[in-house]
Amino acid sequence: MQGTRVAVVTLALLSCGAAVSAHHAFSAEFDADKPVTLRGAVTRVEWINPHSWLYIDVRDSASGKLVAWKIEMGAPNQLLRRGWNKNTLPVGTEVVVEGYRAKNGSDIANGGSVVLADGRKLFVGSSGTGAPYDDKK
Amino acid sequence: MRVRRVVPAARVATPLILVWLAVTSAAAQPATGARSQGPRTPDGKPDLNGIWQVINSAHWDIEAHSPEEGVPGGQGVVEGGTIPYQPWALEKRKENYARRATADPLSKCYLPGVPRVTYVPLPFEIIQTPKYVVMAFEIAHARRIIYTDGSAHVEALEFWMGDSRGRWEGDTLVVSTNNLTDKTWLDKAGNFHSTDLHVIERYTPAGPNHIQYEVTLEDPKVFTRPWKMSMILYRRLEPGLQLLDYDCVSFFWKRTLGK
Amino acid sequence: MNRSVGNRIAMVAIAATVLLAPALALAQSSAQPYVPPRTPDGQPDISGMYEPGWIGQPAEAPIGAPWRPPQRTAPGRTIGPTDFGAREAAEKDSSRAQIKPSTKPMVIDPPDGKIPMQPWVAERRKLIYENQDKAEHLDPRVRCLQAGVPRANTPVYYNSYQILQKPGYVVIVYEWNHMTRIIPLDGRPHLDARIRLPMGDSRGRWEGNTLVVETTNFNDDTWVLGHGAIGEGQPSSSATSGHGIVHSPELRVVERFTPVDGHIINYQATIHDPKAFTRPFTVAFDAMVRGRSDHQIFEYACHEGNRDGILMATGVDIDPTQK
Repeated sequence: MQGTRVAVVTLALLSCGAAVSAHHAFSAEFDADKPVTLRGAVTRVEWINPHSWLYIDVRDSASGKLVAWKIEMGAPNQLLRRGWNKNTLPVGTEVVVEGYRAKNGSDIANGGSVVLADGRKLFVGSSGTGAPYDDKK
Repeated sequence: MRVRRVVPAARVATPLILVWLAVTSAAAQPATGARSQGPRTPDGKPDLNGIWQVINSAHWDIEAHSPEEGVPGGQGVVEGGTIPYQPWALEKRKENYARRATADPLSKCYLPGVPRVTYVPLPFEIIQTPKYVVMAFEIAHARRIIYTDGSAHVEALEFWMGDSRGRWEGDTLVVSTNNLTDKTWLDKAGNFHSTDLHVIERYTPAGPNHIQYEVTLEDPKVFTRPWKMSMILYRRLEPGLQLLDYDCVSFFWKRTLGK
Repeated sequence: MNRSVGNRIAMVAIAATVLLAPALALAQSSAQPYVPPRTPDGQPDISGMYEPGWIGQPAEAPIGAPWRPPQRTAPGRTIGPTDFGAREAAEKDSSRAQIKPSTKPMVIDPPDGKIPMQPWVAERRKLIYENQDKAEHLDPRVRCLQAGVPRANTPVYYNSYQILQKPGYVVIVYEWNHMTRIIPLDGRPHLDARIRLPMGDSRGRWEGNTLVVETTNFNDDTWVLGHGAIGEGQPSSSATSGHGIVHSPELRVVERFTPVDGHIINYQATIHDPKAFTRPFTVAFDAMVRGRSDHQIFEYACHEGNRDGILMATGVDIDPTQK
């Protein structure tokens, strides 16, 4: 089982303009010095604006307890247009999230990447017909 | 001896969505009877372009209610008078009513949903083209796009203003709306619905400056049967009138920031 | 003049016309402006569904080294929230193949490409930048206020547009935050100056195939620009993102929407606000590209889903009943 990966992040990343200006300053909410890798089962998805939210239960390796995490994702409208809906990411799906923790230390993360536990990416295919399927790689 | 099977007296009403789909797929039948008077668009439909507004107190309570401070009295817009709630839902409506001062989502400037957006006491503008009927509302600059291009509803989504698909039946614009969230109320009195709500609105001109607006609501999770409300939409006739965006999100922030 | 001179002049004129005509025709066909079809009431027809134009131009000329568009940190890694490829899908959508990438600053006038801020506007911008964790300075768009003009037209991947036309009106539907601009073309005067609106008050007219829109009566909910890309290596004093630039109540914007071919709408906006800027300035970019025929505008409810983002960014809980 993979341990928590430490992602080395430099301040230069914070000037990554496209992502930052895409909505608001990452640094206003999340801490680039607190990368997290979370593995858990989906309990809820909200395809809403301005940010979608993914709720997962992560088993804490020390205590064995389930911890509820909330992952911030992007605006979903482009995906909804391509067929994504309430059923796209079913409850119980095992996912791995890499992201950065909220500045206030809560169990909230900015989900830089979300993949299925077997490594497949959830991706909108070039055919644009929607519903997740394997990344071409 | 032959046993007579007992048949339930009440027939189960056909779900609205099946009615909607059946009529959509059948050849459109022209309405019998007189055409409505009033202007027509180039494609021969009643011209609903312009600014419209209700004159009633449905916004406060769609059922009959007394006047109270800040609340105009109303004789109700619900046909038959009473919303046919299931027993659990009637209890929930009472809870909502008790908490209405803070629990009404519209008081937080959340979008009012359908059909409530039609009867908030602010005007709205209809922009009618053959394939799209856009409705722009003063309240929170809410907007509906009703696709009259023959396209089907989306599925398994949730929108505050739902997903609307419309077609003309003679001179009546019939609009089906579903994919609604359950986070809106039907008025300030706590009347509510679930995500299963399916709304069918009928806009029928009654002269050039009035629309007879009838709404059927079906929600098998909350109500015991479909029910209707009806009211009149009045054309705003003042020259040069335009919508003045009631941007309550802006008011919310001014209040929050203490300005 | 006698007849023979007149005849000679006429012959020269005819000869000149004959010689010049092919050149004129050639010049016309190679530089032929796009002529859109007409609506039933005679407007140039620009109606339809549109995707945003090129995303990633700087708002103004960069400081120092040549403009470097922002890069992602490594293939597939970004510091922003995952969108499951939504941005990539938007960028790669075949309908957007018509867009040319551009690194030019949006500001085309003044010629140095810089936004000519009055000192107080530059000071306010600095204050805003340094206080994005305070709700009162937080980007109004992030607070789900409307984007204003011209900012509403700056391309971002999470927006799309629909233009509708009917006799006497152009209507621009913006997906983001359900903004709708209903623009009358009948030359009626602007609203009373005491009426102030976030998207202002717009009046339009057609000049040839260009829709010219003048907008006044703004309130103070909006920034002038924003959504530009910050870019690699830009210092904090760089206004390449366009963020944080306020205006005065005197703001008047003149926009020009021009269909340049069957696909792209070129956009120009001149900002007039002598209290906020030392002179008028003009931004220009390809704002919209015609979308797929099955494109739909979906609801983008903003304020309704904003509680968590605001809570994390500023500590302000705008809806304690949401958990």
